[in-house]
Amino acid sequence: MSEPIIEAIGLQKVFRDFWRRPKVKAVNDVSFTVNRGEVFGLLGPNGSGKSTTLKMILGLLYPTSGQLRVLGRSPRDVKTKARIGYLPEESYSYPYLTSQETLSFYGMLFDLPAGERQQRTEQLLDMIGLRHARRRQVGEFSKGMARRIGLAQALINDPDLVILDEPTSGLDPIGCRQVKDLIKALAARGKTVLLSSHLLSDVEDVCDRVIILYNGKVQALGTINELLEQKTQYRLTMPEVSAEGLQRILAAVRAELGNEPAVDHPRRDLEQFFLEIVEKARQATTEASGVGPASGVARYLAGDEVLQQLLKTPESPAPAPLSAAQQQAADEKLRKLVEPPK
Amino acid sequence: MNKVFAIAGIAIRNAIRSRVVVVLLALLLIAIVALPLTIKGDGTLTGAVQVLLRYTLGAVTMILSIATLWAGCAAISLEVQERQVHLLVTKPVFRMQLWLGKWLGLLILNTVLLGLAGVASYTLLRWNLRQDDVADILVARRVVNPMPLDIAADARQIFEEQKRRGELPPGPPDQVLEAIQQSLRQQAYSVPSGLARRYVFPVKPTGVPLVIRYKFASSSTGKEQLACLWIAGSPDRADRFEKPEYAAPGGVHTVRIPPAMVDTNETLTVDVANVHPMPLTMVFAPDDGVQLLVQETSFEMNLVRCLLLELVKLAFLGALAVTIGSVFSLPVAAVTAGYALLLMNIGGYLQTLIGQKMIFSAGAQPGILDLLVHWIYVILYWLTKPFQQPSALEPLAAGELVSWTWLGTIFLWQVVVAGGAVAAIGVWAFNRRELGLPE
Repeated sequence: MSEPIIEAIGLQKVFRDFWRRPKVKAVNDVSFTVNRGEVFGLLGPNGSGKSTTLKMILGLLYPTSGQLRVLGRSPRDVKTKARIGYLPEESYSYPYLTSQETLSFYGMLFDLPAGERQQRTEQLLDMIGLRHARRRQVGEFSKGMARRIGLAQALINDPDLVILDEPTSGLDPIGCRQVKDLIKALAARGKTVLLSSHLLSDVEDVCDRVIILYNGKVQALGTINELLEQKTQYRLTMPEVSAEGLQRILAAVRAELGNEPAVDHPRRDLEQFFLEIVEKARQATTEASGVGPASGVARYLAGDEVLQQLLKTPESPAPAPLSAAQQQAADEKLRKLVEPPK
Repeated sequence: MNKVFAIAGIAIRNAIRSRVVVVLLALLLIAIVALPLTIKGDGTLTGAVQVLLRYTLGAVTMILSIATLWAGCAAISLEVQERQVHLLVTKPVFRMQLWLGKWLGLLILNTVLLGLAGVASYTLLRWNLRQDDVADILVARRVVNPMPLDIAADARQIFEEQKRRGELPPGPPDQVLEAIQQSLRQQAYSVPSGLARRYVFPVKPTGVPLVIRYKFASSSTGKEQLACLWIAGSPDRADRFEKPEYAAPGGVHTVRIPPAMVDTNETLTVDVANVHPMPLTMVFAPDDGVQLLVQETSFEMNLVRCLLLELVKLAFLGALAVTIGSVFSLPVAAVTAGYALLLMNIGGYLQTLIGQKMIFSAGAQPGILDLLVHWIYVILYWLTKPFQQPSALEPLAAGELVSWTWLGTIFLWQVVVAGGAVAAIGVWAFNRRELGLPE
């Protein structure tokens, strides 16, 4: 049985007014468990209680009732906090500190020795592509750059539990992809990630399980597959076949189902396409003013060399992009092929 | 402790980079350089020293006090408002460490600013008085009061003697005794023409010249100078020191006494004889009419002690402000801290208000409202009494010693006891505070 990292039982939070009269029940009887190594998504519309739940897990709010244990202790225990990394929704860094000073300061709060602090700071700055801006004050940064610094400070202690509130908000697609890679890398090392986001595609990409809150109550809880899989339908993806072969397959499907199946060419991911274009442009440019090239996941976060290699290798090689004329010809061919017999 | 220093370091860096320190330094420089130009002294060297030290350093401590209150209130409340505290309290940091870090940052900044102001004031003082002989002004002398007279015992003895002889004046015995005491007191501090009065000071032989400081009133209403003779040394000595003086009533006068006049029993006997040809009486004030000043340390060392004493007061103000700021939002904290500072500075006025028992009632007996207000004043007075300490700048400018004992007492009370209590309240309240509450 896997070790529970966050255990919430009957969690309730009531906000009161100045006279201590109950005003809003922000979280109402919420129970869930997050296990070690899981990437857990906390979803819900605005005012659903997800921020309140996160703040209770972080010890910023105290539950009105119910039980909450984080890493086996009270969330307010400093021993718990020593094992948590937190990226807030907004940049709450000190504007007058440079990015290097910011990371070093938070490292000191974790009692990291000076040498290790410096090493991790350098690696994190490389990871977020801000090495060239290490002496610039955070107050001068764009939202995306400030967000990257926020992410780096959340990882300075190599945390066991990473709590990310809207981690991709304000980031460009490269940054988003990097954050998702990082989340996967952390999970691969047995770290637990709690993620709150409005970008459902991001959540779908990285989360093992999600909880959906509405009006302070749990509306759905389960793995992505359990919640999203349409068990009454099938999708078949196959490599290119000859026209005759495809005709035969379609005829068999028509005979089996009695109606017309949907057939199209699978499309590439826009994110992947964007990243390739930017990478090409980056190779052609010598200077960068904003975020510089990132170096993948920081060494101390990635763990051993084998994992580093895994992270650097793409999951599947991307096919070479077709020209517009080639794309048009392929679409025409497919249209003709899937035309039902008259 | 590293975390406390890290938090203090951030507070200092923020203050420097946000130009708060530059603005404060500019204000302090204006106070030190420009203020003496706008205040006219009494034309004497002592007056010039008073202006250059008391007023400039007084303005410096006032500026730093106000800045400390504001910065202390903002230290935590502003971080709560801008949510930077979310990143701090989600790290393994006790809130006590956060409180201490903020307070320490303020203390370090105050130490540096007060130190720079002290050096600047001292340099300016030396520069302005470079052509004057200030060896007798820029000093640090301990004030020694004469051994007290046992007037009560003497009065009781006279009372019993008169009673035995049946010569007691009519009236209740306690009033008669009080009248005898009053009469003895007047005799003790009055020196009629042709008579002398003896003072004995407990003092160890130091080898440095001693100074008698005296001030008196005359039985005449005029400002006519009176002739007096000061004699130092035990009566049985052949080499007693004598110094005739002409002194005006109302002023402060000094007589230098050779150190050899101190007796082996660690006392200095001083006689003052009224040798004025006219029948005028010299009346010395009981508290500070005649005092012995003993050179204790250098003026520079005294200046350092004086600045340390002011720093101790700033340390307490910082603790108070950080505590208020950890409980309230910035505007509420600033108003509360300002009110506390006001209360600490109106001790005398509160005392007057306590004396006026009837404020609202016109009758002979105080009403409920009068009693209520009276007790509020009493509580406020006693709460703020420990902080109503006289400024150390006055004795510094007067060449009097700011003793380690004084400094230690203020430190013990204002930093250890009161500061500790304020810190404990602040940390307790801060621990209970939910920092993630919606705005």
